[in-house]
Amino acid sequence: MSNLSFATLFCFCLNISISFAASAEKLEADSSFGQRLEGLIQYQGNVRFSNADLRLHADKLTTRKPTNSSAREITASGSPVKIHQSAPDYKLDAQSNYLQYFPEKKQLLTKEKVHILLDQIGQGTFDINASIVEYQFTSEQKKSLLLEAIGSPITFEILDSDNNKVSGKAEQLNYSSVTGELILESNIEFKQLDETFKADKLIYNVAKKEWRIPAVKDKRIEVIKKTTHE
Amino acid sequence: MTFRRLTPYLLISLALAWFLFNISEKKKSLKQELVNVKQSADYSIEQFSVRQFDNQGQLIHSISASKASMENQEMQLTAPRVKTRSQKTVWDISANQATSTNNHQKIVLTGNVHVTTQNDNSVSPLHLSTNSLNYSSNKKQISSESEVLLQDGGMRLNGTGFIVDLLNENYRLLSNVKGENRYE
Repeated sequence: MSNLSFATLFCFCLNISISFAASAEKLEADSSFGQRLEGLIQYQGNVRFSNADLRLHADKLTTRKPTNSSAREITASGSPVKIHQSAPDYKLDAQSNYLQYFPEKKQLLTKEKVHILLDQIGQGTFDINASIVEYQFTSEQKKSLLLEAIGSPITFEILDSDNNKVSGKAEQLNYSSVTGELILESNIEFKQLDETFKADKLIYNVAKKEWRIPAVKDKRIEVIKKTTHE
Repeated sequence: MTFRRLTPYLLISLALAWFLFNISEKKKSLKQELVNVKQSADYSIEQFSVRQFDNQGQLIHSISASKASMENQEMQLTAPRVKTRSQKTVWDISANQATSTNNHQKIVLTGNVHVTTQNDNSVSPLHLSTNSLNYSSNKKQISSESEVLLQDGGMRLNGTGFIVDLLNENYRLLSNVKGENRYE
C-alpha cells in the first residue's frame, strides 16, 4: 500500500514537472498589432525578445503561429537586428538587417550585412561577414552547429586558442562543428601565416589546423608566399 | 351716463380681468411643473434587455443589464453585458457599469471590464481585461486609453491603450507592451 502511495505521488510530481517544462518567450515593445485571423502579431519600436535559446533586439518583430503546413516562425528587421546566444561551450553574437527564426528547429536565417562572431570557449573564435548566413544548433545543449554562408564575397577570420590566425574570402562557406570542417567554394582566397592560396574549393579542419585543396577539373591553384629580404 | 348705469359694466370688466390674470398664472406654474418633470429620471427598468437590428434585419448587438435608468438622454446601466457578432466570432463584453448614448451606438463601460470571444472556427479565444472601455457599434470597435491585459492563445500581453477592430479581429496595443508566450 505504501509503495502504491509513493508511486502515485511520484507520478503526480512528474506531471507537475512536465507541465512546468513548457517553454516561455518574453517580449517588450513600444506597440503591437495583432491580426488574429492571420495568426500574426507584430511588435514595433525597441523590440526585445528572449527565450531559452537567444536574446534578440530589433526595430520590428513579427510572430506567426504554426499551421498544418508550416512551423512557428519569427521574423525581425532592424538597423541592425542583434542576437546573442550562449551555451556552456559557445557564445554567439550575430547582426543583420533581417532575420528569420524557427524556434522549434533552433534554426536562424540572417540576411543583409550579416556579421557573426562565434566564440568556441577555450578553442578560439570564428568571425564571418556575409550577405546570407543560415545556421542551426542540432542539439538541445547547442553542442552541434551547422552553418552555411553566401556572399560576394564572404570574409572570415579564425583565431585559435594560441591566437594563430587563418583568414580569407570565398563566395560559399559551410561549417560543421561535428566534423570540425570548414568548406570554402568559389573564388577562394585563403591566408595562413605568410601564405595565400587561391582556389575554387578548399577544406580546412579547424580542430587539426590542416587544409586540403581537392582537384577541380580545369581549375588551377595559385600559391602566393611572402618572402622577407635580408 | 350715470354712475349707476356704468357700475355693472365696471364689475364685469373687473371680473374678466381677474379671470384672465388667473389663467396666465396657472400657465406659468404648469410650465414650471413640466420643466421640473423633465429634469428628473424619465424611467427605470429592472432586468433590462434590448436587441437592435440594422436596415437589412441583421442583429447589431444585444444589450442587457440588471438595471437601466434613463437620465438626461443617457442610459445608465448596472451590470451591463453587450454581445455583438462579426463574421464567425461573438464578442462578449461585461462590466460593473455603463453609460449608453445615441440610441446605444456609443457605450462607455467602466469597472472590471472583460471581453471574451467565442469562435465557430479554430481561432483561439481572446480575453481582454481593463478598467474602462468605449464601444462603438457604428465603427464595430472597442477602444480605451487605460491599462489592458490581453490573452490571445498562449500569448499574454500587457499594455497601455488599445483599439480592437471587431469586424476584422485586429487589435493594437498603443504603448508599453510587455508580453509572455507559453508554448509546448
